[in-house]
Amino acid sequence: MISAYLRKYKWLHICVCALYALLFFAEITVAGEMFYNKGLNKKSLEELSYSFEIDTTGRSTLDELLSFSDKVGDICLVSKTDVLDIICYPQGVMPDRVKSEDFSYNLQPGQAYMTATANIPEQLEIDYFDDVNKAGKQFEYNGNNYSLMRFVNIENTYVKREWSFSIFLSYEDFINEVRNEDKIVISYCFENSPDNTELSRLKKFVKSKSPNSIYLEQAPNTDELDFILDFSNSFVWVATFLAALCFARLMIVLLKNRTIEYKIFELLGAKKTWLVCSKITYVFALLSISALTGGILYLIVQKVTDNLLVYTRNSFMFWSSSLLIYYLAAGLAVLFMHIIERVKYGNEY
Amino acid sequence: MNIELEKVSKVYRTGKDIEVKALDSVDLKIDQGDYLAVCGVSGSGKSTLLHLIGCLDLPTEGKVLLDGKNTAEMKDAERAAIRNSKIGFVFQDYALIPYRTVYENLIIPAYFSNVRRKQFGPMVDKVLDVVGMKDYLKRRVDTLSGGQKQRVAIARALMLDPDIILADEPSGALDSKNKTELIEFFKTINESGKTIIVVTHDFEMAEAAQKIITIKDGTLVL
Repeated sequence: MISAYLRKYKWLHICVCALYALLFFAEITVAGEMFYNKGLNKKSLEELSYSFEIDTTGRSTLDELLSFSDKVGDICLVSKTDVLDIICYPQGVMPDRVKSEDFSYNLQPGQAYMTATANIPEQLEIDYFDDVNKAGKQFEYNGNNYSLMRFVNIENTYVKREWSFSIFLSYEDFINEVRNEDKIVISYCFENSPDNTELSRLKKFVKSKSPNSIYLEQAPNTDELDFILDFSNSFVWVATFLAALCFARLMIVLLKNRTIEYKIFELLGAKKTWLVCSKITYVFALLSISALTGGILYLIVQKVTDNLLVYTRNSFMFWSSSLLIYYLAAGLAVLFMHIIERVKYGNEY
Repeated sequence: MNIELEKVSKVYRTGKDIEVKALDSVDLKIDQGDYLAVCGVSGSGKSTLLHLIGCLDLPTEGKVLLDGKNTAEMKDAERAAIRNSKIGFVFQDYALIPYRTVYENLIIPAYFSNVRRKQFGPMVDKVLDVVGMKDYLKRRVDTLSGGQKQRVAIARALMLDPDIILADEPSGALDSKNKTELIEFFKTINESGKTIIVVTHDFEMAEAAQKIITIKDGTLVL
């Protein structure tokens, strides 16, 4: 059935592949190639962060957790609320990670970042300090401390979210601010991807210092030219839309085939009630399968592709993976339909 | 099964106030074991007659009686049961599901009957033997030639050992060799006591029947 479908609609598949190829070249032209030759910090491609949720147990435990320095570039502490992230780099930030054009402060290891910074989507007009107040956090503006400096985007250095206020505090201020919080996130960023032994050592280390800690995730650092990544993300939805169109086409083919079958069934003795019930069941099954595969596709695109974009770091890989995802979804749908048909007819001969 | 048509008319409404009289007061009696050819030009009402006899449609006026029972007074389930087990259909376009195997196409009538699934296999074997297609059991229909498809269609029509075979232009898509074969099949089937009604405008096909009737503008011309 699958090979017949591919054969019968070969021009459709050729067009889909051609469209993906077109998008690939368009993306290269418009976005200027996602990852290469745009002054990106290629060194940071090797950087990976490992995040843990830990209890807020006071300074002494935090001091011990910060003592894990083996091959760690920097350590980030985060306290997350619904709209506000309080961030602290107690030992400073690796210089390479914050050298975008928008951000001129190259912090050296060991250097604390003393000013507050808000990370707000540009399209939202927000009175920064008012909104900070609304979030239940009062940050006093007193000259050098807590002053609003500029936007900086350091996504994925800790548990990722769409957008948030990020207030960067010194270690002392951070400890004061999070005193009443239950949990905070500690994120260890490695300059070079650690091997399994090192990672296991880190996990054991964190567990020994904070027994209730939970390993959250690993994520690459994408603090370099993130706007390119954001822009490229829009292409993911183009790919999804395209896949949805092709998927709908597949469903129409299945429905058309079924219409022919129903005419033959009626001719050969199917009762009207059976035909009506079968049609309803078939459409229901089709819709369920569509919803299921659509859901899977959405999850893949939303959860995996987004990271895929970050992980692959290669336009060709990204687009070919998107195409693969489309065929995976389409293949799943055909497979489900095939199973349903087989069960229905029961080829026990 | 005896077939009787009493003053049967069929009117199709093709649009607002547009009526087409496909059959006009047709009287016809067909006994069990008859081999009848229905001839006429396109649009004369041949296929309508076949559809009415085959319980695929109901007359606008008059009665279609199958073994004395009026098809219009039957419930849908009863008409479906007759289509399923008493009548076998053979069409010019074969009415087979092209992307399914010969076996899957053949078991459809059995699927809608009370036949147990265990019996499907032997039944398929038997009818394929009749049409000489035993080796094609697992072949997809769209990989068969026109003649082979028509043989599968005949095999399917014979699956539940019906009393009547209704064939609508069965030789329309066949070459002369396959047409001759088809005529021979129908003769053999008729000799086994089944009624055969063939709608055709093919002279050779019609000549093989015991009786030929002609329809012109919806009326019977004997």
